[in-house]
Amino acid sequence: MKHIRAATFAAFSAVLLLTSGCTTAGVRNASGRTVTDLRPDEAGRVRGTGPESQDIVVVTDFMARSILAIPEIARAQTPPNIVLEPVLNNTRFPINRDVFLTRLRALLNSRTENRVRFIDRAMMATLERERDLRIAGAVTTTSDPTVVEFRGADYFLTGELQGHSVRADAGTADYVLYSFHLTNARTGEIVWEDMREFKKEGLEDAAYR
Amino acid sequence: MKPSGPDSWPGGRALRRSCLARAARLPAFTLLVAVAGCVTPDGGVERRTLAGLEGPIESRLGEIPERDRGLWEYRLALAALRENRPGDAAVLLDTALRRAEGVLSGPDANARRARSLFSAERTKTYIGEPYERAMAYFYRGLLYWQAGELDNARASFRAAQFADADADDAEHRGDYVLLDYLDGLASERLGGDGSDAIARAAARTQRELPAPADLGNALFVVEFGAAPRKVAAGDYGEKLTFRSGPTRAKHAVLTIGGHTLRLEPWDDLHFQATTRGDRVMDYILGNKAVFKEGADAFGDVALIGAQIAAENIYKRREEPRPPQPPARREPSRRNAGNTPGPQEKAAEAAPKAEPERDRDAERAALALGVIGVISKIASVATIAEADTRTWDNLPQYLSFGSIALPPGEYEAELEFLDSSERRIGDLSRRVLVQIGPADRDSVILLGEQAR
Repeated sequence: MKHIRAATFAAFSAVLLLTSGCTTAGVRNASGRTVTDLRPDEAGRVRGTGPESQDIVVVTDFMARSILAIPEIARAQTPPNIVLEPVLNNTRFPINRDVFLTRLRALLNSRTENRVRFIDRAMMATLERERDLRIAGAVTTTSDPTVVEFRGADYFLTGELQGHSVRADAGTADYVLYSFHLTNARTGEIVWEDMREFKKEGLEDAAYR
Repeated sequence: MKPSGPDSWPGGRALRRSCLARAARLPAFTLLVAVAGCVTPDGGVERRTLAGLEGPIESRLGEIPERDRGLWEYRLALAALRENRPGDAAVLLDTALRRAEGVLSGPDANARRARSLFSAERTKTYIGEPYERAMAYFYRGLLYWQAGELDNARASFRAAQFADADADDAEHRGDYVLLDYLDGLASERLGGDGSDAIARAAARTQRELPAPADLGNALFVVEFGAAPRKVAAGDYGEKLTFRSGPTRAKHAVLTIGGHTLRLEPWDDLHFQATTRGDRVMDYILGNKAVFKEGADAFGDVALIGAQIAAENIYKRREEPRPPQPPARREPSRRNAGNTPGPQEKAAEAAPKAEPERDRDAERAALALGVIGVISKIASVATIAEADTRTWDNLPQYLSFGSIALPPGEYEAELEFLDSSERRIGDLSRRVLVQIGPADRDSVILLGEQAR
């Protein structure tokens, strides 16, 4: 009987040894994870070395404060008219470029008591159609529709993302420079420019190297 | 005193042999149970190819295990792109590439498991080898270009080139000609200076590349040949190798709107797949193979040792023993039959020595047998096989050409030629090409494969 017990013990040991290779014991989040609310300006568990939400928040917050501090805006007698031009992405990360300008415009509009005005050029075709309807008398109007009231730009606001990436045995490192500038629409002078820069690095699991 | 244990019973020896056999069989049974619980049966949807599936697979993506989903997203995205469904292709590629970037950005539980002895490499989340990831970014770049987002297209081409940046050999890092060329072309189209990227592309090929200023609004990306296939080689399938071909088409000729465009291969995916060099995972799989082989050999030695030990015991038992005088059992007066006295102890000691030695030898044989079986099981359970999940609807060759065409629909003739410049009739065909508004480029993907 002793030998049967020894053999049984050995068999169970074998089972333990084998199953230790394939059970989910020790695997983190084997059942997944519930959705977690995060602030957009904090880094979550899911990371990447490219632009992340916290970078967008930090960059646009910084740019909004910086723009408001320049004399052309701070001491303007009448709020200057600004037209947004698309941000240029010159990195290795495909991104939604519009998110920077949308957040910047929303920040400046909502928190600065109209110290600047943004001209909605994306609506231009719609606005022209509406004006034509007014001129044609198809819709009501409270002013003379033949008088041009569309505002011209005092400044153009745009930005650019530049990147530099390195890949080596030690991992991947990405540097991204976010720069924005304000150009005088009449003179072409750049009246304001500022930048923020980030560097991130990570190393993938050996199974992918 | 009679020896205790199975040998003292009628048929005890047979029972002992049966115990050994059971001891050997039980772990084998438990192995089956244990392994049955953790392997993925072959023949599941994740093992099949796009061509082998009937009906739309997009709706069945949820059935595919998460670890294989990226592979199917790549395959389906390319099929959607070839079927002129750019929206579907973009969504699938974005999902797959975000997953790949997430996996590459830090620790991954599936990847950790794939490195363990008893799990296969294919248990890791599929993100593709660098040439596969590069192609995913490349196709995404074409979609961005088609949508007029040239800077994001350029970013995608750079990301594709970056995916190829970890080759062992420096000259093979980021060495796609077409990716650098399109990077430069996008910069030129954006009003920037793309000459550096175009010079890099030119340095990697002996072909004269067209100057960006000479290109028209219709950009043709033509693919031919079949994707490199991943094959697990080595004694335990631990070596990842690639096979390609046979590829009949070596060039293509596109005739459209009165223009004839000769399309030579700019990049060869087989070359890209095979010039990465050794992976870190190759060392891990090599170590698994060494362990598997070592455990197997150790198991053989232990089992042979157990067999020899057992045979010696049985042989000795079967030898005729010299007759022993019966022990006298005369109780002493003082102990009156309760405890044996010194004389009785001495008398019992002599015949007991032989079975004691046998029992020790039996235990040693049994232990060797069990160790041998465990080693064999460990060897069988160790999975050293390389991951051969392949993005199999990729082409082998990539080519590029451009001409200026007014907007409209064109009927074009696409011919594929072999190495002797003979037309390959069954591959060549007529295609309808739609050229979009003149204010942006039209990117047209053409090739041998329909999906």
